[in-house]
Amino acid sequence: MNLSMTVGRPVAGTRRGQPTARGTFSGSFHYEFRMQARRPAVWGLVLGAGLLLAAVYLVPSPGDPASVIVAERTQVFNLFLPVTYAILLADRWPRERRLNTRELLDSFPLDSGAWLWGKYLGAVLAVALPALVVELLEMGFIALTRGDWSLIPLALPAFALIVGPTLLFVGAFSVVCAELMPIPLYTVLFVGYWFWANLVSPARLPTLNCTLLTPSGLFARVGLLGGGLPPACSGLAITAGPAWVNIALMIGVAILVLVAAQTIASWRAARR
Amino acid sequence: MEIEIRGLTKTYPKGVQALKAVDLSIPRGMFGLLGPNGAGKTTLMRILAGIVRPSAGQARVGPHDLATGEGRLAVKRMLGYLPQELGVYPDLSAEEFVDYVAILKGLSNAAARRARVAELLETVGLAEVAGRKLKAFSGGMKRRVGIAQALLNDPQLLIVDEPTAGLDPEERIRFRNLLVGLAGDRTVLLSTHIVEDVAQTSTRLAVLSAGRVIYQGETAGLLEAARGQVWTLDTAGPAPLGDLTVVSALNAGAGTRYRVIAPAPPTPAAVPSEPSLEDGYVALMRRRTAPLAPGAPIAAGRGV
Repeated sequence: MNLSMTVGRPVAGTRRGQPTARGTFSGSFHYEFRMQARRPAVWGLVLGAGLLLAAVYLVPSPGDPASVIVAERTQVFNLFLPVTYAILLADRWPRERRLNTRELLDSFPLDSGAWLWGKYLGAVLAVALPALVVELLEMGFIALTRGDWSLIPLALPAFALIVGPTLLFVGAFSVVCAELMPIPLYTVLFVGYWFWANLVSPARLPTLNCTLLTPSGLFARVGLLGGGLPPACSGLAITAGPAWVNIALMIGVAILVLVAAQTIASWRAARR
Repeated sequence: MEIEIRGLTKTYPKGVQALKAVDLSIPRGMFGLLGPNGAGKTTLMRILAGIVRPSAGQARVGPHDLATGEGRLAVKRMLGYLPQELGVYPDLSAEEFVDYVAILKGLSNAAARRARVAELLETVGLAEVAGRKLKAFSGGMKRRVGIAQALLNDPQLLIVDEPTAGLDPEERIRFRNLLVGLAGDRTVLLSTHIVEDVAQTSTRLAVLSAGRVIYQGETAGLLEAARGQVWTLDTAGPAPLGDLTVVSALNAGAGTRYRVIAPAPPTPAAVPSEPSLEDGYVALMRRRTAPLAPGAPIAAGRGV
């Protein structure tokens, strides 16, 4: 081994770069997506849970129109799969501490907000990939059995309107809560919250279910894609307006949570 | 890029005082920071890297004041930092990791960035394993990745905290040579508890103990702290006792040869010896632990 080394002058254009928020965001997004999408657990857990759900709830009602079938199937999946999203997204921030990468990151002149948003969206998008694969496999199977291929193009808007806001919402909470408590505790609390907020009937227990804060995509399904209400929410009249409000609330809460995470991170940095 | 530190104090929220009114001048070139574990070296490094804020006093890197947000940001822009515990993403390859850091450091031109990443991985001898995941790297290879990322932005200030810890002798030599090569037109601050690393790289150094600078000056001047106090003693009996520190013990057939630091010969048979840098460091530490009158000079060079 050559024990003496010299460092050549840097390539033109690389000397003392000034990072921009845009560059930081794109780098953080790109590499977080890459790391998360490479995790076998991401694919194994979401695909496994999705295929299990498909096996339990395989055959839709034969008389329903394609749009209703797509919307209902997507929302049924969205009642259960978010538990896997929460598990997979909860370790992304504690992981930085576990790997000791924060000290290095803190020595860069980067925009910590841009880094946080890039990391968040990259991680969420990586979890969305296997969820989309589950959706397309499911719709492909139903299309094949019904001989109705019009389901396939409907799957994408259904996924975007029902699963998208849920992923953003769950991802944001997983960021903040996993920073404030141990991951196993967060996972247990999340499972409790999720089923309380989506499956409990308001007639039995005060719950977020059947309100504008229902996170399962019920409002988007009924108000924008078609289909009936579950018995627990039978008194509701959901149209496009409340559906958009529900989506906006989910995304708005996600943004607020991320801003809170940014504030907590800045406060901690200021105390060092 | 010269560094001026005056009265620098750092007290952590739980009341631990890591630095106590530190005064230090660090000129351009290679500078060693020596001290035992817990002396405050890492805290000083972290303050100079803009990661931790000083509690009191002043630290300036060139014209930039590290007490202000603007100052810390300006220093970070010209900084290369290799922390003591380098965290890497095990599921990225070396090339991907360094590329990610390059993006975060603002190397936005993709072609120029790729060329710079390849050049630095070649420099640290990792070009052939650039595509291998970091989880398969040894500790020494990860340190080399750490140096590569620290050099990405051609830093004017390079801070390396315990860079040779855990490396085999060949890798230590390689690292030391690399650091010396880098010091030509920039300031390289090497923090370590290994005396040999400073002896082989730095003509100037400071010694920290319990949050205070107890020596700063020429590296060679540290020898003077031990002059007249280094003794060699051959004995077949028990180890020497008393007001002394055994620097080394060497089995010499029938007996043992001891090298000790003591203010007076530990036995009549003890022979005075020429001090080494390590002897000077040990003598300095001995004096530090002994009771001193306030303000008393404690070392040759510039004792503080």
